[in-house]
Formats: sequence, C-alpha cells, structure tokens
Amino acid sequence: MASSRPFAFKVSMAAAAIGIALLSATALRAAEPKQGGSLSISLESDLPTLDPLGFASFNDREAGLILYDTLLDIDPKGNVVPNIAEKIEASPDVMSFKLTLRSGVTFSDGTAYDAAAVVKNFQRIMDPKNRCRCVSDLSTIDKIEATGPLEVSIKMKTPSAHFPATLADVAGMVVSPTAVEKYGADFGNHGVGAGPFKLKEWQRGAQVVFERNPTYWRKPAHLDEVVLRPMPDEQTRYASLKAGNLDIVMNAAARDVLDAQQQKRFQVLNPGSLATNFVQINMGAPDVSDIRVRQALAYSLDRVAYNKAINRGLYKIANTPFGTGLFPHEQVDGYPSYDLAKAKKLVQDYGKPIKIKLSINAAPVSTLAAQALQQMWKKAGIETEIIPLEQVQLVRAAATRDYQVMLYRWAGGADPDKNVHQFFHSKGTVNRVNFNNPEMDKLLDAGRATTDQAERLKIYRQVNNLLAKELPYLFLTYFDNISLVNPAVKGLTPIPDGLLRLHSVWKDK
Amino acid sequence: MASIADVTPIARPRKRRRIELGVSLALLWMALVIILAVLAPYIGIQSPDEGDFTEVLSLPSAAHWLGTDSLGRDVFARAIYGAQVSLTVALGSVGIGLVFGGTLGLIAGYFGRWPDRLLMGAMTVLLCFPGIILAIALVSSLGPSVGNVTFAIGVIFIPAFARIARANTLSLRSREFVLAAQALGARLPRILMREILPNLMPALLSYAVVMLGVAILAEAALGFLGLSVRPPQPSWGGMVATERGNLADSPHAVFIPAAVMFLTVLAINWLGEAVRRLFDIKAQSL
Amino acid sequence: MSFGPAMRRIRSQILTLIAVVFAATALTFAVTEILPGDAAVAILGDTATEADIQSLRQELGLERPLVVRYADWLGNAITGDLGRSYRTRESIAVMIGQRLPVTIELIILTQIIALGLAVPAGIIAAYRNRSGVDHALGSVSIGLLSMPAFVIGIGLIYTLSVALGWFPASGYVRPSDGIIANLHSMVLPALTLALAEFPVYMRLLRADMIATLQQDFILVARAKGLGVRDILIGHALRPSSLSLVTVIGINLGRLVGGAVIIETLFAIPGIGQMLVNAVYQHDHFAIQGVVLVVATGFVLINLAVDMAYALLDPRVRHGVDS
Repeated sequence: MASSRPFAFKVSMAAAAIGIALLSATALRAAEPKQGGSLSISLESDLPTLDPLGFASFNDREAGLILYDTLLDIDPKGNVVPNIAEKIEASPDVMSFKLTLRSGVTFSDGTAYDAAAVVKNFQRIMDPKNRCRCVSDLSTIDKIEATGPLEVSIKMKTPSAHFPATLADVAGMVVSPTAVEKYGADFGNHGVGAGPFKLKEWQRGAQVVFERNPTYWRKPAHLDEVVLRPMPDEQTRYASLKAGNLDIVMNAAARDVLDAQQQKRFQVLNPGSLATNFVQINMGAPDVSDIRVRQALAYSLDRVAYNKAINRGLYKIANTPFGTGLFPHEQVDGYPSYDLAKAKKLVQDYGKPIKIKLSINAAPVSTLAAQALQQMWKKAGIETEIIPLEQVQLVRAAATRDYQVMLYRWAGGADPDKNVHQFFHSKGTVNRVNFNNPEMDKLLDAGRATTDQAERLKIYRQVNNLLAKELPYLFLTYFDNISLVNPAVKGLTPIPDGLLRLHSVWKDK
Repeated sequence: MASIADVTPIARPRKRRRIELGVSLALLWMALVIILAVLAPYIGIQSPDEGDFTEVLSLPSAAHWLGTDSLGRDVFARAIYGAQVSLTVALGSVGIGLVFGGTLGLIAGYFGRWPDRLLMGAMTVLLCFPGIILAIALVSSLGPSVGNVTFAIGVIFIPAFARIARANTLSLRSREFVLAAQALGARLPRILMREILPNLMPALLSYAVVMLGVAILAEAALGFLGLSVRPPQPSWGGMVATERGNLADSPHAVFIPAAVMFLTVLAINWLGEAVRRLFDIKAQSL
Repeated sequence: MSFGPAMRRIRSQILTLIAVVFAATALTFAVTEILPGDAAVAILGDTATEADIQSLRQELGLERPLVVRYADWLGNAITGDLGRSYRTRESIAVMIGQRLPVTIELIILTQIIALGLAVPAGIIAAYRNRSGVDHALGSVSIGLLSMPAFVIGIGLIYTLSVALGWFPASGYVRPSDGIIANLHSMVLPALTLALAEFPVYMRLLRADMIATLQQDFILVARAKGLGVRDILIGHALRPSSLSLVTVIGINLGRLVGGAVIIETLFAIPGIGQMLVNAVYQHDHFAIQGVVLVVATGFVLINLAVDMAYALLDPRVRHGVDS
C-alpha cells in the first residue's frame, strides 16, 4: 500500500518522536541520583576516637551516623522511628521493651547484626570500666537479653518512656563484636559498623576518609566517599566553602548563615532544633538563692535585642528547655518577659547590692553574649563580673557547683525527658543547679511512666510552668544546627538534631 | 670604574626633608594616640562598655564617629581605651625584656665560663617553651589582666634580649678600648657601665623599638586566642578577633581597630628607624 | 681550630643539652600542675560527676606526688615510651611522628621564602642605602611588620583563595599523596609566616651590613680591586650575619609556637596545634612529649648556631675559650 503522506512529513514526525523521547529521558535522568563523587564536611575539631564509647560532641556523633547508623532514627518532625531495628514495643507499664531487628543485616566485616551482637554492644557500653559518655542515658536499664535471633528484650528498673530516643543516639550505635574482639583497646582507630560508609583512612588532625559500604542494609550509598575535615577556625570553614574546597559547613555561625541567605549561592539547611542556650543559676549560691534576684535577672533580659545582636535574629527565643524539634512541648504559662521596671523594683525590694559572677567559656561568641547580658543586667542595677574559663575548667566548675551563674548550652535529646530529668530531678546526675523540688521530682518520674503523648504533653507543660516559676535556668534562645551546603549536593533531609544522614545523598557533577 | 663611594654608604642630605616628613607624621600620630589614651577618662568620649542594641554594627555617623561594634558599643571609644592596653603592654613587656634580658646577656657575655653557661642554659630552657604555651600557662593560671599579659610577654622577650646583649658583648669584650680600660686598672662596674654598655645600647635599643611593635602584635595574637584582657575591657587584638567574622557585611568593625593598630605599630617602627639612623651617625663617628 | 678544645666544647654542649632538656621537661610538669583544670574532667566530659572524676584521677595516677609522676615519665621516656594521650589513647610517639614533620616542613618553607626575599633585599638596601629602592623596601617591610600574622593570613585567604581561587583556603595534603599538591596546600600558610618574618630579617641584615661596609677591611678589599658583587657577598655578608643568625636561631624555636595560630587558621595538622590542644585538654603526656622533642630540637639548633658564630666571626672563636 502506498503511503498517503509525503516522506518529509514522516521524517519530521519521527524526528519529533525521537526528540520527545530523548527529552523525557533526560528529564527523568536529571531527577535521578548520580552515582559517585566525594563529599567533604567540616568538623570543629578532630575526632578523639572512632569508638562510640568516646563520642561526646556534635562532630563525633556525625561520624557515628556515617560509620554505625543507629537502631532507631528521628524523623523531620522529631519523632522516633524505626531504622535498623524494625520496631520497638513498650509494655503498658513502660518497664520493659522488645526490640525487633531486621533480618539479613551485617556489619561491614561480614559479622551478623543480630540480637547477640546488640546485647554484646549494650554490655560493652554499660560496663563502668569502659566509661562510655552515654552511661547516664542507660542508667535505668536492669537487664538485657536476646530472646530470639532477631529479638532483644530490655527490662528497666523504673518506668522509662524516654528509652527509645536514646537508641537514636550514641547508645544505638552498634559495633561489630568480631572487630572489638580483634582490635581490643585499639578499636577506636578502626571502627567497624553497619553504617552507609566504612573507614578508609584516618589521617589524624587532617582528615577522616570513609568509603561506600557495599553491604549497607538499605541500598549502597550513592557517594563513593565522605571526607570529614577538622577546621578549628570558623572563618576558615566558611572561606573554604566559598573557595570551593569544602561541600558542607555544619553548625554554621549566624552571620555566615545570613551571608549565605543573602548571596543565594549556597543551600541553607535549617532543621529546627533540640538545643537551648541558657544561663544556669546555682540556687545554693549567695544572692541568687533568693527568688527575687532570679526574677530580676529574668525580667531585665531583652531577649529579642539580645538575639538580634548576638545571633542576627536568626534563632527563636526560648522559654523552655524544649527546642522546636520537640514540638509541641515548648509551650509554657508565665515565663517572665522583658520588663525593666519590674526588674528594677525587684532589685529594690531585695535591698542588698547584687554582684553576679558570670562564668563562661572563653570563646569569642560566649564572650560577646556574656557582655550583652552584663549590659542588660546593669540597667536593672545588677553588677556583673565575667569570668572566662577554658571549657574543661567550666565543666569542672559546673560539676563541683563552683560557680554562681553560668552561661551554658545543652545539645538536646529527641525525647523531652532527656532535656529535663538529669538536670532538674533532685537525684539527677547532671543537676548542676542544686534544684530540689519534690513536685518537680514527681512530674519528671510521671513523664517517664507513660507513653501516652497527650498525657506527656500535660506533664511537661507543668514542668515548664514550674521552671518558669522557680527560674533555675534563664532560657535565652534555641539554637538551630544550620548547615551551609554546596548547591551540587542533593538528597539531604533536615532532622532536628542537626546531624546529616548521608545514605541517600548524591552529588550533581 | 666604580669608586669607594659606591661601596661605602654615606648620608645624603638631599633626602632629609622627605624623611623628616615621615618622622613628623609618626610623632604626630603617636602623640595623638598617647594623649587620647591618657586623657580618655577626662575628655567627654562615650563609654566603651555600654552598648545600644538597636544600633548594632552601625556605620560611622555623627553620634558614633567610627561606628558601633557587634554589641552596639562605640568603636572610637573602644579604640582609645584599647590603646591604653596596647601601650601599657608594649612598654611594660619591652621594659622587662630589656632590663632583665639585657643585664643577663651582658653578664653572660662579659664573664664567660660558668656564669655564661648557667645563664644561657636558663635562657635556652625558657626559649624551649614555645611562647604561646608560656602565655597560655601564665594567663590561664594568673588570670587575664593587663599586668599578667605584660608579664607573660615580657618573660617571653627576656631570652631574645639576653642573646643579643651577649652576642654583642662577646664582640665588644675584646675590643681595644675595653682592653685599654682594663689595662688602666678600671674597676668592673666602670668597665661595664662606661665602656661596654654604651656600645651595646644601639643594638639593644634598635631591637627594643622593633619589639615594641612586636609586643602590640603579640597582645593581638593573645586576643585572637581569647587570652588577653578580661571583657568587656577592649584591646585592639580582642576587637579584631571578635569582629573579624563580620568582614563581609560590616568591615568597619574590624578594619578600624586593625587600622589603628597598624598605624600605631607603623609609627613606632618609623620612629625606630629614625632612632637607628641617629645611632648610625654616632657609630660612624666612633 | 685545634682538636682538644673542640672536643671539650662538644662534650660540654652535650651535657648542656641533657641538662636543658631535663630542666625544660621538669618545668613543664610543674607548670602543667598549676594550670587550672583537670585531665579527668577532659576525659569524662560534660556529664561527669564528682565521684567519677575522683575515681578516674586515682586510676590515672594523678593523685601521686609530682616528683613520683615525673620520675615515672622520665623512666619511660628514656626507653622510648612517651605514654598515651588521655583523650585519644594514641601513642604520643606516633602522634609526634605524624605531626612534627608537618610543622618542620612549614617552618622550612617559611624560612626559605623569608630568607629568599630578605637576603637579596637586605643586601640591596644596605648597598643602595638611602636611595629610592632602600626607602621602598623599608616601607614595605615596615608595613608588614605592623600587621599581625593572622591578619596577613586572613587577607591572603580572601584574596588568593576565595577571590582568585589560586590556592586552597585550608587543609593539608600529605607528600605521599603528591608533592605538588602538598606544596600547593602549604603555600599560603608558609607565605603568611614568611611575610611576618621577612621584615625583621631584612632590617637586621641591612643594619649590620651598613655597619660592616664602613669598616676598614672593606676599604682594603676595594683597594685590591675586587668587584662590587664579590665584596658584598664574599666579604661583607658573613660578618653581617651575626644578628641575623641569632634571630633565625631564636625564631626556629619561636616558630613552633607561632605556627600555632597559622596552623589553626589554615587547618594544618602540625605539632603547634597538637600542643595547644593538649594544654587545653590537660593531656599531660602529650604536653610532655612535645616539649621533650621541641626542647631537644631547639638545643641542637642552638649548637648549630653557636658553631656558625665561630665560623662567621673570628673574634668570637678566640674570645669564648679563655
């Protein structure tokens, strides 16, 4: 049969069809992750070790996510969700938990990631001789045992609704028992886990290089390699990002975030926060033991102006210990707002002259913040002396309660209990403020005893109100761990703890 | 063919007017800085410690001649009070180095043998400590204050002065006029004071003047590490360290203390050059 | 130089070396003691309780008397065991072995650049004393002397790295990963330090050389008909180097500490940074180890400087041995 259409027409139709096919193919390909590439991230200081026993700082925990992944994870809203563990079930009285693991997961050295491995890991981190920084998180555990090849049963001494959240952090980073056996005390230099990457090389002080783990339980990662580079100087970190030597600056300074927002050159990843900046008051010290003095200190703080001056207005004002990642727990009734007249009156009522010693970490940002506080308190008639200490001295002073008032911050935990129990319970292990209030103790214990979200919301609301009344802490701002990212990096999800999960990240070359 | 004059430099009067302009400017600047620093509490400048949060990092204006810093404090006032710190630290630390270091070096160089070995050994031990460690140790244990910073930097300077004094004393010790004085039976103090010391001074003083500038910069380095005076007391180094992150959007907060520090050290160095030229002429007439 | 006195001098130098290193490390132990703060707290961190701190102190042996702890450390050090870092559990000897070469490379590069600029500049400035060239060099050097090293560093980062992209803003590449890349990563830090050292070197050399050029033996050389270059470099340079050599000697020790700020700024994993971190963390063995190595190196350099004196200035050679 002879065709009824001219040859040229057929050709152009064919060409159009091919063109459309190609276009759709490229369009589809553009949305598809590219394999390969190396991602470099800045650290504030070199890692002390690759062993979770020694993980403390933000830096360390990021390396932990890369190398070990966690039993449970946190979603963008701050909820605890399954990860390597398929599910966690709590008994109605919250005194025991059952953890079910996925099947077929292995560590990068081939060892099975099963209940036995998990139990061994718990025993290791709970052993007082190993001095894990995470020990306080696990203090309510009574017994752990494997009740099946993929099932772990955990019994608590007291109700512990906060327990699942700890498995999204260092306590949930499980190490390969074979590797621990093999390396012994040297494990910290090797670090074998089940995370999306495994250790390739550690050049101390210069960089830690990780390479793709082909047996990762999700699909293997897109990136070939992740490099963590310690850069102590904040200005250098941002300069390196701008010069193209670095892909991601974590925990960026406020002014650099603003600069990035204005220049529109970099992605600004703001995950909200779990963390709070505050002034902690030693309630046993002179002058501040009187509620009027504490109230005067609170009422004379213009935190909006403070936030604008110190943080360029970037963070949210805090009235509670619960950051935005712990929504909706940050609601409170009656936290003192800025009222200079009231502050002055309280100072007058108190009668005696007030001299405050403010202990701080000697870093430039804290120094600036402290001077801001000093100026504001001066307006209410309170004299402040700033005492700069190195971080180690500061921690010691806090632990031994050798201070009057201290500027501090807490990185936050994914469960509200983690942000209050250890600090405000009369038997709390990190109660640095001499806070001893039976009503608070009752509330905190109750918060642990139920998993009912509505119930907990009510309990922690009362905790907030009590804190606003007694003022052991003057809350300043929540701080968000904002990351500044090279626009070629895709696939990052903002999670409120500020850490980056790299398993689905890819680089657009 | 080249003549002796090519190799032997002689002062050329033609250039004197240009040199004197530089010296005059330097003297003027130093006078300005010193007068403002000394009279600071008495003249009507603003307080360096009080800030207005609504005027953070504002540009120079009628109200704030050099603008405000991160906490809304007047940069002009802080620069002047910072001058008090820098000048005190500079003079104090160089004084300590010159007096103690120079004396020790002189003794070591003149007497030789065991006093030399002992003193130079002690100097070497001191020098073995990287200065920064000594500074951190001293300032951390004694506390940050102008006095302690001066002391720490002064101690760091002692070995350098001692070595220069010793090196030059060794050379001078066997010179004719010293041997002549000894032959004439002059007593030790006279030899040290009248023969050696005056010839030591040019080298020591020109080094001292250079070190004045170095001391100001050392204080800046300590400020960079957060080890200088206690806040809210301003120091030029501390101001640069605190404000340098604002380089992109508010450069004035960093540039002004940096510029003031730069001009002051520049003026000191320029004046030092003039002092050296003075001694050059003196040395020529020896 | 006759053999007998030379041997005696070498022997006494070695004794001095031992004494100085002993004194330096003992002093360090004492100084670390008075530093406020605590190694146990550094290890245990934020959530440390007083009981934990005390028991860790016992375990680390920190409660024993100072002299006992020093003797213990000394005994181990002689056999080559410098202990382990409290914080990272690494062997101190290994840590130093990794970081010292980095700082040494930085210092050597710095001196090469600084002297490479300063020696020609100093000679020219002295020779063409009071001329336009001299004034120009003088102005540049005065200008550089008037800026803190970290300001120079930040300036170089923003111009040569962020704006022009010629060099990396930070980071260190090992020589084993490429000599070119290694040098490339060291250029900015070395240049920063060199620009800070150059003025001092140039001015010292210039001042000494001006004085030397006025002396009789120069006239004699001139009368003998020697060329300008011969006189400047062959005859005048050596005796003029006295102060310069002194200062280089002092500087090499000082640079280890001075390099700290630059190492921090450019993220170079050298020994200066290791030492400062150790001081802040109260990592006793790390501090001791570094001071031991730095003290030893420093004294050895002094030995070299002393011998250089003897070579450069005949008057000194004869003066010291009396």
